[in-house]
Parts: sequence; C-alpha cells; structure tokens
Amino acid sequence: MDKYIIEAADVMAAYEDSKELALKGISLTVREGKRTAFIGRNGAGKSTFFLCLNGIQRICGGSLKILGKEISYDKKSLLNLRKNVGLVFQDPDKQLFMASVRQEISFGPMNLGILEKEVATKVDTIMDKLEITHLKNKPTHALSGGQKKQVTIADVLVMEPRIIIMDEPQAYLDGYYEGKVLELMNMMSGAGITILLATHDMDFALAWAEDVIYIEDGMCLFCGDAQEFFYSYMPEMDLKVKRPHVVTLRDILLKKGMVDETFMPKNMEEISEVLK
Amino acid sequence: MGAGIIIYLRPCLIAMIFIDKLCYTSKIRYVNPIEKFTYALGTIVLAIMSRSILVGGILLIANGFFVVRLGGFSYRRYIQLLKLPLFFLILSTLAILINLAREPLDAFAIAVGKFYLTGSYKGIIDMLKLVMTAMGAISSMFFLSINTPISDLIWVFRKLKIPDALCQLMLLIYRFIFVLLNSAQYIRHAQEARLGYNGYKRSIKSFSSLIAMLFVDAIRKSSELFDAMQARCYDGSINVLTEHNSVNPKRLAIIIGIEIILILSVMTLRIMGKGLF
Repeated sequence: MDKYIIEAADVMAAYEDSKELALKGISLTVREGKRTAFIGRNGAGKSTFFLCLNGIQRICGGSLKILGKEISYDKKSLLNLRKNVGLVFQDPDKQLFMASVRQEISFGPMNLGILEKEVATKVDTIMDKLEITHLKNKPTHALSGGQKKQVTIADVLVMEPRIIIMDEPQAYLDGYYEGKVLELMNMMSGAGITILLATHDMDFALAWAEDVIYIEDGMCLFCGDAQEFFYSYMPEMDLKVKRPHVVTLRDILLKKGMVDETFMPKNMEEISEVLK
Repeated sequence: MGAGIIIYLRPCLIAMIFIDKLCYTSKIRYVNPIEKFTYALGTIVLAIMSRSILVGGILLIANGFFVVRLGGFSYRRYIQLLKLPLFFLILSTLAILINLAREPLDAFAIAVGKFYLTGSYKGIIDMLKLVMTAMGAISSMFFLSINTPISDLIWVFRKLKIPDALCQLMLLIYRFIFVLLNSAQYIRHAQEARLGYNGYKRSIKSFSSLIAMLFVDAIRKSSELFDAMQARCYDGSINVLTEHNSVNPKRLAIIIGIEIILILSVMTLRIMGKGLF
C-alpha cells in the first residue's frame, strides 16, 4: 500500500495583492519516494502550490498534510517543515545571495542551528557528491547558469530534506547542464527522496515521472500514473498542454498496426526498440 | 543627463567588478580579515591625520608592495586601479592650484586678456599634499578591498558590533548590485536592439525607462529573494560559515609595529619642522 507524503484536500490560497484565488480548491496526493511531475500552463497555480508546501504562501482554506502532519505556521512547525521540504527555485538568481558558493550552501544548515564544524563537513560532502568542489570559493554571481543551478540544488540537498520541489529545473540550461541536473535528480530519487517538479517539457515528464499531477486554473484535474495521464486521460480531454512526441509516434505505429494499445512507451529508446 | 550618469558610473562599476574578482584570487584572501582591517584602518587614519606627502608616498609604495608581493597581483593591475581615483582627484584639486587673478602669482601665470590663470608654490604644495594624502588612504583602502571578500568584511563589522541589520543590508545590497547590473544589461540590450539610443532625446527617454524598470525589478527580486531565504529557514539573521584563518598574533604584532613606526616617523618629521612632508 502506498504511503502518501503530501495530502491536499480542497486547498485554497490567494496572494495579498490580489482578490482572486490563485488556488481554487486543489485536492491531490503525492506518493512517498516517487517522482512526480506537475504539469500545467503558466499561471495555472503550480508555483503557488509549491510555495504552500514550504509554508511561504499560506493556505486560506482546505487541508494540507505534509509528512502526515497538518500544516501550521508557528515558528517551530515552519522550521521543521522547511527542513523536510526543500525548494529549488526556477531562477537561481532568486535563490543565491551569499558572496561565496561554500557560504551560500552553508546558509540553510546554519539556520537549523547545526554546529559550524558539522555544517562545514556537510557542505564539503555535498559539494563533493555534486562534483562542484572546484566552485567552492567562487562568488555566486560569477557562476554560469548551469553552475548556479547545481549550487541551488546543493543549497537544498545539504539540509537533507525528505521532499525536494524543483520549479522548472531545466529552465535556462543548455544540454550539458540539463544532463547534469537530471543525473542529480536521479541520484536524489535513488536515495529515497520524494521529488516534485514542474515542467513544460512533456517528453521529459513522460520519461522521468512516475506520477503526474495536472493543474489548470488553480484546480487539480488529474493526479495519478504518468502513463495513464499521457495515454488515456490526455487524448480524452482537451488539455491546454502539448502532446509528447513519443505519444504521437506511438499513435502512428498503432495506426500502422505495428504495436497494440498496451504498448505505452516512456521514451524514444522504447520506440526505437520496436522499429528495430 | 542620462548619458552623463552612464559616463560617470561606468568606470566606477567596472572598477568595482574588477575589485570583486580580484579579492577572490588574492593569495592573502584567507588571512584573518581583522589583521587586514587593522592595518588598513590604521594607515588610512594615519594618512588623513598626517596630511603629509611623505606618508602618502610611503603608503602608496608599501601598499603596492603588499598587494603585489603578498596578494600576488601584477603592478600593472594595481596601477590600473589607482588611475581611476587619481583622475578624479586631479580634476577636483585643480581648483586649488589654478586661480583667475589680475596679478600673476609666483609659480606660473598664463595671460588671458586682462586676467591671469595663475598659481602659487604654496598652492602646488597644498595640492600635492591633498593628492598624496588621498592616494595614500585610497591605496590602503584598495589593499583591504582587493584582498578581502565582502563577506569577510561584514564579519569584521559584526565583530565591531555594528548593528546586524546594517550588516545584512550591506550584504544584500552587494548581491543586488550584480543582479541589477545583469538586469540593466538585458534591458539596455533590448533597448539598443530597437534603436532606443538613437539620438539624444530618445537616449534620455530610454535611459529613464531603464531606471524605472530597474526600480520595479529591484522590488520584485528582493521579495522573491526573501521567499527563497525563508524557504531555507531564514529567521532574521544571516549566519554562514566563516572562510578565513584565525588571527595570527605574530602578524598582528608586526602590523601594529608598522603602524607605530609610521606614527613615530610622522611625529619626528613634524617636530623637525619639515612642513613640506
């Protein structure tokens, strides 16, 4: 039986400067240790929901349970929540602020009240794991876009969270760093961390995610298996997102009678296997 | 006016970015910042108090030596850095040197109609004293800034019990200089690509909208940065790892020794009545 690490029921949220609700009653569940992709158009409410999960954006209605506990906003609960739920922002420049990379990474654990010596060990270990030790003395503003992204992931990983949320992790990255970030995500997933990410790349979502959550206009319209979403739900509904190329190709093969309906590839490699 | 501000700010910003890059490559980056700060502050006070050409000269040479030998920078870079303040200093001290008078003074005089552009020997010495004092102090400031990253300087300020809010503000302002410079560059490129700086009037208009956009951007980015800091358990105080060695008592004693020797030399010269120095 699956254990849910996040349970949202009718969650509502609104920004201070807006009368409209950004989240209009989101209900969903996230399975522990799974890779979950959040899909939806810009402004659908993905980022707002992510902020809610970290306690930055407060909910104004409904129920939000993280790690089995109902979210509350007192200092102690927030500290505990933010220790367990790491948030990697889309634009690294919104996240990085310290003068040097090593100091930047140490900011989170120092805030948790860990001793300086222990923080130093944790920071050095995580930099070593992520192969960014050579950047440790560099000022954050002198890094390339890809390096900044790696540092933002290290920022969060060093706090040893159980859930990592990544808002469009591939944004601003070239192919090389996209690969590097994917490697990191697989490493985190392999370590049992639950990863939630928002993406507009449908092929990536199909290939990488185990579960998909589709959000539209502040509501969750789908929450479930990734293949079920792309091969059953998406063709039935008129969704405002692009179809993955893999699904289009599979449909061509299906029409030509080369595969049957049970064939639901996740990536191009599986399609090329059939073509061989 | 917009173009004027750009002309004035551009070299300052370039120098600032240059200094920032240098301090991360300095060989004495990890020397305890208290030692560097003590030396720099002591020599700056000394230069200003003494108002002496000799002290200014000694500091210029000594700091040049420290920056090159200890910091590992080239003389060319050091001189390149000093050129900018020297240029502004000379411009601003010309007023002391040159007078417009009906009678010529003792040092030089150029006739301009019924008047003279003229100067006295005292004026030349005053100008030299001012320039050398300022350059001595600036070289000490450069010694500190090109060998010490901003985070270390802020650590020293905290040790000196400067209010934490002020220190955090300094750190964030420092970070935002680079973030906003980046934004300014993007906006400027976007404007230039659409001929936004074609002609004086259009330049003024584009520049003013660039400033307005930067202001809005700064507010938006600061709010987003605050969110990101909160996401990592920020509780109102920025605490991070310290990145330098502990104070070396021997070196600190040498620094204090150098300061004392310099003070004694100045006092001796003053007593001996060498007003020139």
